[in-house]
This record gives sequence, structure tokens and C-alpha cells, in this order.
Amino acid sequence: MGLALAVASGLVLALAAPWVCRHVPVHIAGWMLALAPLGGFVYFAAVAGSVVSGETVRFAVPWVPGLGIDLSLQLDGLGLVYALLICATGALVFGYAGTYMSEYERAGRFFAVLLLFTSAMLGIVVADNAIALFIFWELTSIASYLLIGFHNERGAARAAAWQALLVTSLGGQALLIALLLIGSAAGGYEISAWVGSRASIQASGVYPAALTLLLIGCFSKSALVPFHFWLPSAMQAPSPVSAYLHSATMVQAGVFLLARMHPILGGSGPWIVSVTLVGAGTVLVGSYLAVLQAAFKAMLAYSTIAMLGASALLLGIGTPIAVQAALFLAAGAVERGAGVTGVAESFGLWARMPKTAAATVLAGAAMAGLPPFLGFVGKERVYGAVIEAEAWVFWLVPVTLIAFTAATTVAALLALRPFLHADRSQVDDARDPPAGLWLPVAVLSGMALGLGVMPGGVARFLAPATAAVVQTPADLELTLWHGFTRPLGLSVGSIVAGIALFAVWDRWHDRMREHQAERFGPGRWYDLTIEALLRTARIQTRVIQSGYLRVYLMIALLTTVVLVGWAVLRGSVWEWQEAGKPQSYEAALAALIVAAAFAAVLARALVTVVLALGVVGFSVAIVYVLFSAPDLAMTQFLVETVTVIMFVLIFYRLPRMAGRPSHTAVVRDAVLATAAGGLMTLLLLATIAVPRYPEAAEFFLLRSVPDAHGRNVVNTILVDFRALDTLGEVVVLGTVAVGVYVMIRQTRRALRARSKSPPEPVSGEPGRPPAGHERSG
Amino acid sequence: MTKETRPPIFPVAAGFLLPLILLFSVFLFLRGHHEPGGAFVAGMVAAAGFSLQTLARGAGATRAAFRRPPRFLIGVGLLLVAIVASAPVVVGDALLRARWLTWQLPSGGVIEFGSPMLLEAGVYLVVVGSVVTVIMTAMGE
Repeated sequence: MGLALAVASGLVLALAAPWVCRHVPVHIAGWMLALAPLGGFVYFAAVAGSVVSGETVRFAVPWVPGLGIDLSLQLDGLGLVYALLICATGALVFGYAGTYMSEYERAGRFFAVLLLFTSAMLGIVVADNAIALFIFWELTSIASYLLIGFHNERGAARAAAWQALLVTSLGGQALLIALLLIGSAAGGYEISAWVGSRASIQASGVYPAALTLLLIGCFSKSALVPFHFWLPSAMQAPSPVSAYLHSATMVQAGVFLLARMHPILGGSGPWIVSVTLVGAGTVLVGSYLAVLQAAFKAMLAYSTIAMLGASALLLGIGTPIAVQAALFLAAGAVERGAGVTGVAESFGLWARMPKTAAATVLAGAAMAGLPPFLGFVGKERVYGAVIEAEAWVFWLVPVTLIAFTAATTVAALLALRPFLHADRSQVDDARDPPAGLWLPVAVLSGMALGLGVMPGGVARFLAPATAAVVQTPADLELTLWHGFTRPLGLSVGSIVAGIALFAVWDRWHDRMREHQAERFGPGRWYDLTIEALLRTARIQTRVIQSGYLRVYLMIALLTTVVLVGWAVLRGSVWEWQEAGKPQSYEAALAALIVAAAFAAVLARALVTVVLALGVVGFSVAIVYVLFSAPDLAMTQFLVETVTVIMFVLIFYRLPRMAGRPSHTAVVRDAVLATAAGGLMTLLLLATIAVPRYPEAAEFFLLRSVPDAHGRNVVNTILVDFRALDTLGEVVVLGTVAVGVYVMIRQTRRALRARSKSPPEPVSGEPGRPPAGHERSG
Repeated sequence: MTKETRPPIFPVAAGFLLPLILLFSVFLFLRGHHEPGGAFVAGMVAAAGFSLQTLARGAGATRAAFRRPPRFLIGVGLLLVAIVASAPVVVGDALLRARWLTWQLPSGGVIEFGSPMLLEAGVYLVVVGSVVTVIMTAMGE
């Protein structure tokens, strides 16, 4: 129960957030709303002891019992580590965001979405049901979309949000299919139960497809190569969002799911090769592009990508990514305090922003993995793992070396460059931002420091998480000082190399920048794909949406005639039934209908056409009367009446017909009309040939009074026996009326805006419609 | 036809006819459960009446008669239908399940009132609202 509350509290507070932000100053509201992640943190910390000692906390309620789906949450060692991370960074980011967003009008909406995200993210890490996991997963994508596009007045923000949504939700679809495949192979949707049927899942025929789709889902969510391009664009979001979603938590979801699925799908050749190669590729691409950037956030984005690649590469080994969040926050603080956004332009802020500078340097040291930060411990551990890895992955050693070198360089660039060289300062009015902006930076980095000093405690938490991934009791030992070992040598090497790169960055950066490496990456492919899609849509619209009612009508009729006619001619039976000799009045009625139809076709004035069609309609109503269907007859009479009124009203406003249509047009229309009429006749004959079903009529006649309290059987069917049909029809009717209203009003408004000249006569020949009357029908 | 040349007989007659047509529409509505008639037909009659009014006296008169835009009726009708349809679900019954109240009169007659009648009322409102909306839109309102 507590588990469900911890997840749901964000959702509940999200509803209250807009109200809170309206009535409380935003910088205070931020800390108030931080209660949701803070409460979650307290809860997870409280149950941590029992989870570490091997218990699992479980909560389940039936959700869709018909499909055997429960809403089940389960907290194990792996989920606990992530949940604590989400809540801790969450609380600090919320506090920070309160100060950061205080100048924005839509802070309430911002916090509502951020709270929704927190809940969904917690849901991902504790979900045990695969379907629930997928829904939480998609919720984070949607929250991310809304937050990236928060500055929706900026085109770049909208494009970035759209891109992130397309990439991650495409991955989400792949993930859903993968989960369904695994579920079908395992015979259930509880992830904890999947672990037990690992062998049968991996042996089943769906395994290759399920693995491929799952990897696509995870790679796209975590911005691994080749899906990495959406993350740098996502930096359009406000700084707290970049820190929280696009560095500390959401992008971790893919890596998390890889870890979660490792005991189920992992261990096979394809898994090891693809995860390792993609991870290594991401590390190289991310590191390379990170040092090429000049803007804080772009640098951090690529460096985040590199770290995510490393996490994928070394699944199950601690990740130093939380401190990345601290640097994002620092970037926001510098941006606010000094109004600068890049490393190339900002110098000498140390004296003016001492508190921000101190906090940022702390964060940079944490990210660079200097001892005694947690990053250092993690780095040692990673080097150790890489050195001990199997022979075929020997090349992982240089890859990790490059990754940590680049991380050190980026950390140094971000933490030192804005603040050094007071003599070159160009920003005179810079000063420390409010405490809300630099304190969370300091706290996050302080946490990295504190945990680094006592790695034993961290190991105690990480051991059950590792155990959940590799499914064997893990004996994880983390120490700050191993002695003079090879990992230490590599560690020192990467720090030295990183600082060396930092020293020569100025000269090197300008030269490399000219190559513009991003121009050839998948980001470019994405742009080309979207462009091609839009161009196809434009061409298709131009071809199909001509704007002429008669063309639409022709397409609709032709499609119906061809498809239905083909089916009728091929499959159905129809028979000519001898109906007996028609009565004289029946013959007269038929003659009237035929004559009126001819008159409608041959008439030269629109009003005559309408009246002739009216005669056809009313005559048909009389046919209904003759065959004792009074309800139908009444309806037909009224519909006909209102139709004629409508036609008259509309034609009253149309220009007169200008001349006769051409000979070809007449022949074309005649052929089409004959075909449509012939098809209807065929259908009627086929309907007659179908054997009657007298039991239905008997049932309704028998039951209408006792069951539906009505003697009018037709009406009882309409409003009682088949009321669902009526429900649907009424909705359609209302929708159509509103559609007509909106369409005509919009067209009229557009026309009025364009010109006030009267419409020209409509000709019977194709050509652009002069005033768009037909478009509005 | 401009205002000046419009003959007075039509508008005056329409003014007398509208109440009668609406009364007939109500009659058809109430009759529908046992005899030919019903919500759709009754709604069409009312809509035809309003169309006549619109033709005779212009859209302004009809708009004045409605006070709110006629499309408002569509929303009210759909809301009514939705409530009638989903109310049984709330108490754990099937969607659209009908409920009937029956009073035995001392004279031997029976008065019945059932939820399908509310459903019919919703249909009636949607039909009137839809047709009048389309007509008024076509009139350039």
C-alpha cells in the first residue's frame, strides 16, 4: 500500500499544482511540491533495510481481470536504487525549479507535468506487470514531450519536443510488441514470473523478434546510438527538466529496463554483442561530440549520452550519472546569474558569483571522478570490470578510457571556464542567483562526495540491485583505495589526459568545429525522413483533395461500385423474384418516379433539380405507405421535406449554372450513375435472395410489450432493444451538424477576409473553384 | 427576396403555424411508444417548423426564439443520452438497461414512465439542434 501511495502521490499533487502555484509564491511552491518526491524518498529509505536484506515489497490490485492483467508493483534491489535516485534528485530539482520558474506564468502547468513525470518514472522502476510498465513508460515520454516544448512559443522547442516524442514513442511501440511477445511465450505478464521461465522464453521462436524490439525500445529511450540525436535537441527544455528528465532519470529508463530484462533475455550471444557494440559506439560518439560543443547544455547532453552508453556497456555496474544532473542545474544557475550560456564567452565570474562557482566546481569534480567522490569509486570499479572482461572485448579498455577522458574534459570546461580569468570578464552585472539555484547543486555534489567517502554503504545498497540483474548473490565490494592497481593507473591516466585536453581545448576546438560532425549523423536522416513525409503528404493532398464536391462524390461512388460490385458479382447469389402483376396505382407511382428522375437529370435550373428530386423522394415515401411501413414513411416524408428546404436555402446562395457541361462530362457522369444505380438494384436482388429469419420478427413482436413496455415494435427496437445503435447514430448526427457549422463558418470567415467580391458563376467543367462554395459542402 | 418585397402573408402564417407544428411534434413524440411516431420523427417535425419560421421571418427570429445558439441543444441532448446510457453502469447494471416506473390508477388505467423516454428526449433534442444548426448555418447565420 505504501508503495502504491509513493507512486501515486505525484499524480495527486499534480492536480493541486496549478492551484498551489496560483496562491503561493512559486519559489515556495517548488519546495512545497517537492514534498511528493521527498515523501517518496522517506518511504523508500524506510523500506530500504528490509529490501536490502532480501525481502520484496509487493502491491497488486486486479486491473483488467478479463485479460488477467493486474496492476502490480514490486520493489526489489534494482528498483530501490533507482527509486531513491529519482526521489532524491527529484526533491532537489523541484526546489531548484521553484526559483528557476518564478518568472514564468505557466509554472503551475510546469509543476503538474513534472509531478506526473515523477510518478510515472517511479512506476517504471517498481512496475512488475509488463503492461503497467509500458503505460508508465509512455507517460514519461508524454511528460517529456510537454516539458521539452514548454516554451511553446519557440519553434525550436516545438520541433525538439516533436522529435523526442516521435523517437521515444516509436521505441515505445516496439517495446509494447516485445512485451506482448514475451508475455505470450511466458504465459503471463508478471515480470518477476518471467525470470523463472527464462530458458523457455529464450528457446521460443519469438525470442529474436522480442529481443530486437525490446532493444530498439531501450536504445531509443536512453538516447543510445543511433537514436542519440533527440537528446541534444531536447535541451530546449528549461534547465530543471534537462537535469531531471534528460540526465538523471528518464533517459536512464532504457538502461534500467535493459538491467531488468537481463535475467530474462540476457546472456545470449545476440544480446551481449548488440548491447556491447551499441554501448561502445554511443560512448565514442557521445564523447567526441561532447568536447566539440561550445554551449553548456549541448556539452552536457552529449556527455550524458556517453555516460548512458557506458552504463549500457557495463550493465549492472554503478553509474555516476546523478552528478550530471548537478551540472545541468549549475548551468541553469550560471545562465540565470550571468546571462551566459556557453563556455566560449563567459569568463571571470568567480569573483562575482562565488557561491555558484563553488557549487559548480564541486559538481565538476564529482563528474570528473576525482577522489574522493563517488564517481572515482565507480570509475575504479568500471576499469576493474573492463580489465577482467573476456578476451574478445579487450577493446573496451580504450573505449572506457576515452569516455572518462572526455568526461573529465567536459567537467573541467563547465566547472572552470566560466569562473576563471577575471581579467577577461565581459559580464559586469553578474551576481549570485538566489540560494534556490545554487544550493541544490551543492547538495547533489555533496551527496556524491559523502557517498564516495563511505563506499561500503553504497555497496550494501548496490549489492541487491546487482543481484537482481545477474540473479546470483552478488558480493559487491567498493573501496576508495585499492592500492596501486591497473584500474588506478587508468583512472589517473584519464584524469591527466582530460586535463591536458582541457588545456589545449581552445585551439583544438575551433579546428574540429569546422567539420561539423553532426551534419552526417542520424539526426540528419531524421530530418530528411520527416521532410520526405511532409512532401508526400502535400502531393497526396493536392491530388486527392481537389476541393470539388463532384470529384469527391465521383471517387466515393467509383470506389463503392468497384469494390462492392466485385464482391457481389463474385460471391453472392441473387434471383429474380416473380412479384406478380403490379396494381395500376403502383405502376403509376413507378412511372412518376422514373419521370421525375429524368426531369432532375435534364433540368437546366437548380431549383427544378431540387423539386424533381423531391418528387422522387415523396413518391418513395408513398411506396412505404403502400407496403404498410408507416414509421418509415413518416421519416422519409420529413427527411425529404427538410432536405428540400436545405437545398433551396443553399442554392438560393449559389450562382446560377453557367452553361451545359461538356459532352465527355455528361457521358462520364451517365456511366457512373448507371453503374451506381445498377449496383443498388443488384444489392436489392441479392438481399431478397437471402433466406428470411422469421424468428427475429417473432421475438420482437412477442417481447416488445412485456420487456419494453411499448406496442410500437419499431420504436421499442430503436430505443430499447437496440438502443446502443441509436446512441451511436445520435452522436454521429450531432457531430456532423457541428462539423457543418464549423466548416461553413470558417470558410465564410476566410472568404470574407480574402475578398469582398461576389462569386463568379460555377461552370460545369473542372477548374479551381472561384470562391470555395463547394469546398464548404 | 429583400425585406421590403417579402409578402406579409407568409411570415404571418408561419407565426401562427409554428405553435401548431410544435404541438404536433410533442404529440408525435408522446405517441411514439405505442403508435407510429417517435423521437426522430417528432424532432424532424419541430425542425421543419423552425425551418419554416427561418424561411419566413429570417434567421434572427429563430435565433430569438432559441435564446442560445441551436447547437446548444445538441450538447444538452447528447449529455442526456450519455447520462441515461451510463446511469445503469454506475449502479452495476448493463449499459443502457431500461428502468420503468408504473402507477396503477384507481380507474384501472396505468401510467408508465421509463428511462427510454429520457433517451428519446435526448434524441429529440439532438435532432432538432442538428437540423436547425445546419439550416441556420446555410442561411448565413
